[in-house]
Amino acid sequence: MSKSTRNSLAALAAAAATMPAFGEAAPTEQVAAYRFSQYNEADAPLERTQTGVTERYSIDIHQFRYSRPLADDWYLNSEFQYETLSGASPMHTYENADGRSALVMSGASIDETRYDLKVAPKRYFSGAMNGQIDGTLGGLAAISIENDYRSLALGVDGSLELFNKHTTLNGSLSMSLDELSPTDADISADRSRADGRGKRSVSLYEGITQIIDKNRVIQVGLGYTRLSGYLSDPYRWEDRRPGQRDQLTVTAQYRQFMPLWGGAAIHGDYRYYSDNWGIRSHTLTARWAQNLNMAPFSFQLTPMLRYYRQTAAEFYSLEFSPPQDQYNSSDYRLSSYGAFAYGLESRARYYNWTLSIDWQQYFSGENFALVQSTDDETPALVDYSIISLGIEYKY
Amino acid sequence: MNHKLTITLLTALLLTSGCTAVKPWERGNLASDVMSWQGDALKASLDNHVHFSKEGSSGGGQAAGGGCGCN
Amino acid sequence: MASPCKFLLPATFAGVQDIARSMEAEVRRIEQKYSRYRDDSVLSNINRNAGQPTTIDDETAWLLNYASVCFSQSDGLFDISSGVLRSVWNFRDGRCPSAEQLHSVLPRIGFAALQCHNNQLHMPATMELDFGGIGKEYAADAAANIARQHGIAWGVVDLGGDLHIIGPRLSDNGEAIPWMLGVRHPREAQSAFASLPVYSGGMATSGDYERYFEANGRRYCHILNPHTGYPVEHWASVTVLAPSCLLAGSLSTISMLKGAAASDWLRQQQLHALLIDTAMQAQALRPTAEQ
Repeated sequence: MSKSTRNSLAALAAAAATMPAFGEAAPTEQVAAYRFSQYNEADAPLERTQTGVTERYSIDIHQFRYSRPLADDWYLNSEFQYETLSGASPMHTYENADGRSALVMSGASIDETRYDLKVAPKRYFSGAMNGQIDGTLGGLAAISIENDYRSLALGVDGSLELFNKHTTLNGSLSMSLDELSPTDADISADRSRADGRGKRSVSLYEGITQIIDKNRVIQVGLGYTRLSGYLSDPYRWEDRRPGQRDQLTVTAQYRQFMPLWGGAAIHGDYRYYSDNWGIRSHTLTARWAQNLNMAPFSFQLTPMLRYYRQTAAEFYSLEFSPPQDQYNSSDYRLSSYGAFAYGLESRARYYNWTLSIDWQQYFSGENFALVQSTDDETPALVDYSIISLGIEYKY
Repeated sequence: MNHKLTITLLTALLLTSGCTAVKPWERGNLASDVMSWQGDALKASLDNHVHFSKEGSSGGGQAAGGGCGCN
Repeated sequence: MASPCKFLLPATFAGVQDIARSMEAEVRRIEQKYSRYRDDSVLSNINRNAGQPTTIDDETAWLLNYASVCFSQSDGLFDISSGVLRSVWNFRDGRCPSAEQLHSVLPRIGFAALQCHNNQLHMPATMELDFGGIGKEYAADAAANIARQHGIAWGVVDLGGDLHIIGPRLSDNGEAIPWMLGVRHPREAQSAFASLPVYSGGMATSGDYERYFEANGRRYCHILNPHTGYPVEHWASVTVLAPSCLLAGSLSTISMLKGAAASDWLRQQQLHALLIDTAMQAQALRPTAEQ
């Protein structure tokens, strides 16, 4: 018997191993979905507000999604979102003579609408170039319109399967062009200065997904974004920020399957962020996704826990009137703080229909930063909750 | 030929680094919907948008969408 | 497909009807794509274009690549260009071809003459392909993959006896219960020769009973040796369990073609198999301990 015969199975199995290339081709189903969310911010602390306005934002968000195959290997994903917002936002925080932080809220309640449209076609290559290439190539175009802000984003992304699909490389490149047109631009110098100014961003992302074994998979990624242009906030007092911001992220995501009831998985996500304004942040998210089958229904319940903390930007200050030639901001988002969020996602599937109810609660506080905690108080830090109802039809 | 050799070597490296070869027919668990990276697409969009507008840092995902003037 | 096909899936799984429908659609897609009987199939197009280059898609290129590995691993016995022998073997009337007839078609067989580069297939004008030995098996795997992708963990895809077992059922206390799958008795169509416990993967049987005639005191079956042009004789059926149905199907067919040498060859592949010779003597193979 020749030596090669021993390995026949291995040779045949190797030739057969790439098979799912065709099973994993472009999705063939159409998906139509609608989701309504109510976003509510807790009131600002009355004893710290100077104007007596404590009501913060309340936003109704309507989201639509429609996805369908285009041609053989093409799939189109589109999302439309519109939101109506009412409430007031913080304009300034400063340390008063007693050494306590005081908060100035925008006076009148703002009513605003934002529209956001995203279109992302994707081409699936399975076994292209004589079976050598498995991957995807996609595009993204997004436009967001508010009465005082417009944004256009364009991007490309791709993925490439390697080593019999044990490893996937992902990459994307995107850019955006934004334009500011503050309302009532003539009422303040900050607003008129910002009117017509632009903001640009260029983002690069490179990630790698690795199958560890038949139950575990991990994804790590490196992202870089450069923002430039008018990066200050025209609605805030004494808000003068550098014209450039370089952001770096390192992410890791982990999924582990657990054979429990209808199948479950542990999710662990981590992100490290650093920018040249001096902000470093850590984000940790843990989820447990649980499937339950009760014919003809199937359910998925996903409790979630998230922790976020960041350090302050170098030019963050609570000075009432800082020197005009210095960068300065009292934006709570540039302060040192931490935040906890928890939530529950639930969906019920019945044949082609999926209903979902999601809820989450978010708390932030200067003490939650745990390290680099400051004596500065940040009364503008926000607590919010989101409740969402969704329906999806696949056909 | 060199290309093939590199891939073989890398595969070998991969397999010795704690990763197991997982055959296509053993990928049922990995393909389960509980293992998804981002979950519901609309929920992911909204969460990203909210975190983008309420926190001092953002990014880390694939192709980011556009900005907003959100406060 | 001419043979009965069925899916055994958990009825309690939500959306199982949709999943079964898309599995059926996938099986039909593959069947139509590689059907000998449809003029508009990819296979018919390849055969029509014999003698000139044909552009083939990735899936076809992949299947042809698999067929070429089968061809080389079986020392040329498994040859998807051997279908031309059917033009001289008349199973309906039960007549053997003459030596001249055989000599006229044997030179037209030979998978080695095929060339495929960058999805360009060159096949000599005299040749003809059919995907009989791999198409249905591939379809069974593809259907089972769809079920798995939707989260179905147990069930069986049965395409006319070519099986892909998605996974075992679970008992109330979580223990895996294997499927007991019958191997057809080669001489008694309605009875099982044996039952094999199978947890997951492919199971396929190749036998001398699907199409045959008897003449001159011997049995002429439809599995034809591409070197001699004559039917195989040693085994009545060979059943192989392998990780996929495609593997099981090609390994069982190669075993039929290899004749007596098949039992050693299969044993070396470290697989479960059941070989039944024409005297109805059975030989069960199971993987020996790892060396």
